[in-house]
Formats: sequence, structure tokens, C-alpha cells
Amino acid sequence: MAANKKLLDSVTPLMVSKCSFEKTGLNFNVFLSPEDIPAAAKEMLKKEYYIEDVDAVDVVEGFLITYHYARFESAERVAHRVMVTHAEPVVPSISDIYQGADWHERECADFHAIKFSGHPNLLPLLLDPETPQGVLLKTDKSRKPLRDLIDFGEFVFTTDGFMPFDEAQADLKEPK
Amino acid sequence: MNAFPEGDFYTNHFEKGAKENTMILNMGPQHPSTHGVLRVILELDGEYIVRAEPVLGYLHRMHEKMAEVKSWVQFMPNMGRVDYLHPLAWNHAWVGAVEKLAEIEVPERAEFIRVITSELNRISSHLLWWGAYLLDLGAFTPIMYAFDDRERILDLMQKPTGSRLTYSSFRIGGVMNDLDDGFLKDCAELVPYLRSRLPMYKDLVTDNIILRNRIEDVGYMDKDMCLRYGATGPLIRGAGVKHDTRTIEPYSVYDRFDWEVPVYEDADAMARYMVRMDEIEQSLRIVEQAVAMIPDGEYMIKKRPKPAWKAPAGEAYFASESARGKVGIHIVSDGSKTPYRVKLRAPGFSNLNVFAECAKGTMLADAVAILGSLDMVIPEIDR
Repeated sequence: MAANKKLLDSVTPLMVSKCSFEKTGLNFNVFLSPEDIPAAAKEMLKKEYYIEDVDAVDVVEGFLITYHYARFESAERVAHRVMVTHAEPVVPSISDIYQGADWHERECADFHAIKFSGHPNLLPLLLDPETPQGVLLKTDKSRKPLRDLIDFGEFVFTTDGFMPFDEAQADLKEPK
Repeated sequence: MNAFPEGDFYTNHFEKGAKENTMILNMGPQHPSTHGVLRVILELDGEYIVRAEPVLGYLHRMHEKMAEVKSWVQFMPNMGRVDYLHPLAWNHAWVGAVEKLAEIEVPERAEFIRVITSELNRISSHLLWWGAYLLDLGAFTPIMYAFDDRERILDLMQKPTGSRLTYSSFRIGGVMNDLDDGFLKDCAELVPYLRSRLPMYKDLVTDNIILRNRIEDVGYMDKDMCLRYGATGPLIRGAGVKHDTRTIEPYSVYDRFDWEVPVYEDADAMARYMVRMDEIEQSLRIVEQAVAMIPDGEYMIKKRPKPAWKAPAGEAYFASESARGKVGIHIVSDGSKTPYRVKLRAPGFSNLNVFAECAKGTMLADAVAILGSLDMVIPEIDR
């Protein structure tokens, strides 16, 4: 693993960090730009990772969307993460690569009103169709900045200019 | 003008009008073989399924929102209600995740108590699945035997856990009650009794030609499908992959016992049936050893978290193996009394997702055999 610090061949991640499996249950965090998510998913499928879940966390900076991948044969968990703003929460769908992501993405759309572009059937999954989506959205007051929540561990690869905790971004007020 | 009766939201999205030679059939949410409140919309060509789409959400209770308004300790009873057939696996995932976050060391005796109760619970879950599955397939007798044996487990379990169904007896840092010598003695007696019943189950049901004709070569799900859908538990073990969270990501004290992960290669409903039947025996082996090996000591840490306890800020992911597959809990904490975000990964959710692809081209009657072989618990899928 040390040979390739990027972890992925097909795309260049924004950042890769290594965590302690004992402490967090994760081996690696891989930050990606939203448009790289499908290519990264394709590579993970080729490497025989299965998708555990897709979830979103509502923070001051926007939504942190996490794709958890794990393996059948060994204890390894890799989190692909992508940050999207509250104003434009759009991520490309990976449901054509991992068909199992279909429902996870629909659940994310239900709970956090995130749009998955290219999803074939983005109907409410768990919520009643008449309930407005985004039931787990937090109020501006209750949102916390990402840096207070998650410790990403030791950074092993960073693209120039990428900061997971952007000071300027954290102070930015979301346009209503 | 629309010549067809107006459907609801999901039927309208599934199919707007009639096609030549196909029929739309709505199955559930009150259909007995959908085990609760699952609804499946099917497009049929004669007896064959062209397309299937499960409709979820009839039992949605928004546990993830409840987690954000309750304190860490107060969320415990919810874990007994997500999967009512194997709640202790969810208990284990929750306390495991919080203990991982807060770096709490659990007394060894508590870990043994967790393993013993959780494995007994797994057997009772498999027994109920067995009885209900055969009921789906048209055999009435087995559920009577299954409930007889399950009853003995419930009688035994109600003492240390305080309930018979929605167990939430684990605590952050230990368990609710210690096991007394009476329980350990009864438990040691129950194991050989349950083991003596297994050959009868085999003669009565497993070797039965009617069952074999119903479920052999039905519902093919191979490793590739499991990968794409994230299906775990008996589905992946029935597809020839030795994957069990208890051995792959060992938690608690599971690595101390001598047991095997049952694996079958056929990837059909029969393989999944066999995996579960063998798992009963393996769980008995674990219980037997754990009862013999249980050390003396505390069953709870000294400074037990009170309802107003604050977990440190950070994130943790913890997985446990339930009777249905991998339970995963992802928690994000901001260091306050309540979790900031909790994501519950239900194994049944991913397992049921496979159904639409798996059912394509099979007969309608086989759809019931496939659904049953997934061992669905709808409250867990809808959360």
C-alpha cells in the first residue's frame, strides 16, 4: 500500500489520510472531487471492494458524503469522501456501477435532500412521497464545523492547495 | 382519459399504462410472505417475473433522527427495536461504536456475557426464520417445533436481559445484569438439548424432497452480485465466500473460541438455508465454550456512563455480525450529550436490494422462496 500513496490509479484524490482501525474503524480516508466519484467506484469494484453504505453529515461547510467500502476477505474499510455545498448538493450517482448504491443514494436524498445526478429512479425510498425531503437537515445554529467533528488522521497524500478544513469556507454564510 | 384505475405514487412511477402481454401485480404490504410490511410491485409475463420493485418505508421510524435527540445512553432501547429478531447484534454494534469512540475498556466477563446472550439470540432468530420460511413454502408443522425450541431460549434469556423480544440489555461499558450460576447451569443443559433436536430438523425438513424441489437452484446470487449490492451474512456465505464479521473483523472475544464459518458454494436458496442451519450448530459451539470459559469479575466498568454522559468528539465505525449479515454503525460526535450524526447500516437493506435483479425471469411462486431465503426483518430495513 505504501507504494501507491494515492490509493487509486484512475483518479487523483484531493487528499488521502491514514487512520487507526482500532480507534475509528477506518483504514483510509480518500477525499475526492464530486466528478471523480464514479471513476473511483469503478476502480473499487475492480479491486473487489463491496459497498457498505453511503451517508451524509450536515456540517457548516456543507454536506460531507461518505462512501464506505470494505472487503469480504480481510478487515479493511476505506471511506471515499466528498464535500458539497448546501446551495448545490449534487453528486454523480454510482448506482450503475454499484447497483446496491441505488437505495443508499435514495436514502441520502430522503434524509439530506442531496441530488444524485444520473440516478435512474430518485424517488422517496423510506419517506412518504408527500413528506418534503431533507428530514435530517440541521438548522444553521446547530451545525458544527467539520474540524470539530472528525479527525482524519495522518495525511499521506495531498493535492496542492487542498485543505479539508478551510477556514474561509467555514466562516462563509450560506446564501438563503 | 386514462382507462386504467388510478394507482398510487409508486405504481404510477413503476408503470404508467398496460403493455402488451404483461400484467402489473401488487404484492404486499400485507402479504403474509412479505414478513410484515414489505411491498413489491411486479410486472408479470404469465407466471414469470419481468420486473420487480420493492417499495419500502411502511415501517420507517427514523431511528437516525431519534439518535440525534437522545443521549448516548438513552438511545440504547432503540437498538432493541431495529431488528427485533436479533437485537443483541445491534446492541453490540452500538455499544461497540461508542466504546471505540470513547476508548472504554470493557471487563472480560461482560464480553463473555455479551457473546453468550448474543449467540443464543442468533439461534432463536434462525429458528424463527426457519419456521416462518417453511410456513411461506406451505409447511405448517416446522414452525411448531421451532417455536417450542425458541421458547426455551426466550425463557432462559428473560432473566439476564429482562425481556423476551426487544432485548436492550447491553450497556456502554458492560451489560445490564450479571449472569448467575443458575443461568450458566441451565445454559449448559440447553445446548445439548438443542443439539439433539438438529438431526430431527434434518430428517423432517432439510432432507425433504418437497423442500429440496422448492428451493434448490432457486434465487441464484453469486459473489459478483453480493459485491455489487453489498450483500452480507448468509447470502455471501451461501455464495462460497468465507465472510463473517466475527472472524474477519473480530470484535468482543469471538477470536477465543473454536468454531467454523459455514460456507456453501451453490449460491441458491438451499445454500442459504444450509448456512443458517449450520450456524445454529456453530452458535451452540460458541455458547458451550463461552459458558465453560467465562471468567469471574465485574460485568460493568466502575464509572458507568450516566444519561448526561458526554462522548468525546470524533468519529467511529463499528461492525457486528447479526443473523442477517453485517450491521454497521457510523457515529459522528461533537463532544456533546447527544450524537451529532448516527448512520445505521442494516444488513437486510442491502440484502433485499438484490431481490429485484435476482427475481428477474423466475416464476412468481419462486419469488416467495427467494424473499424468504433473504431472511428479511422489515423494521431493520426501514429503520
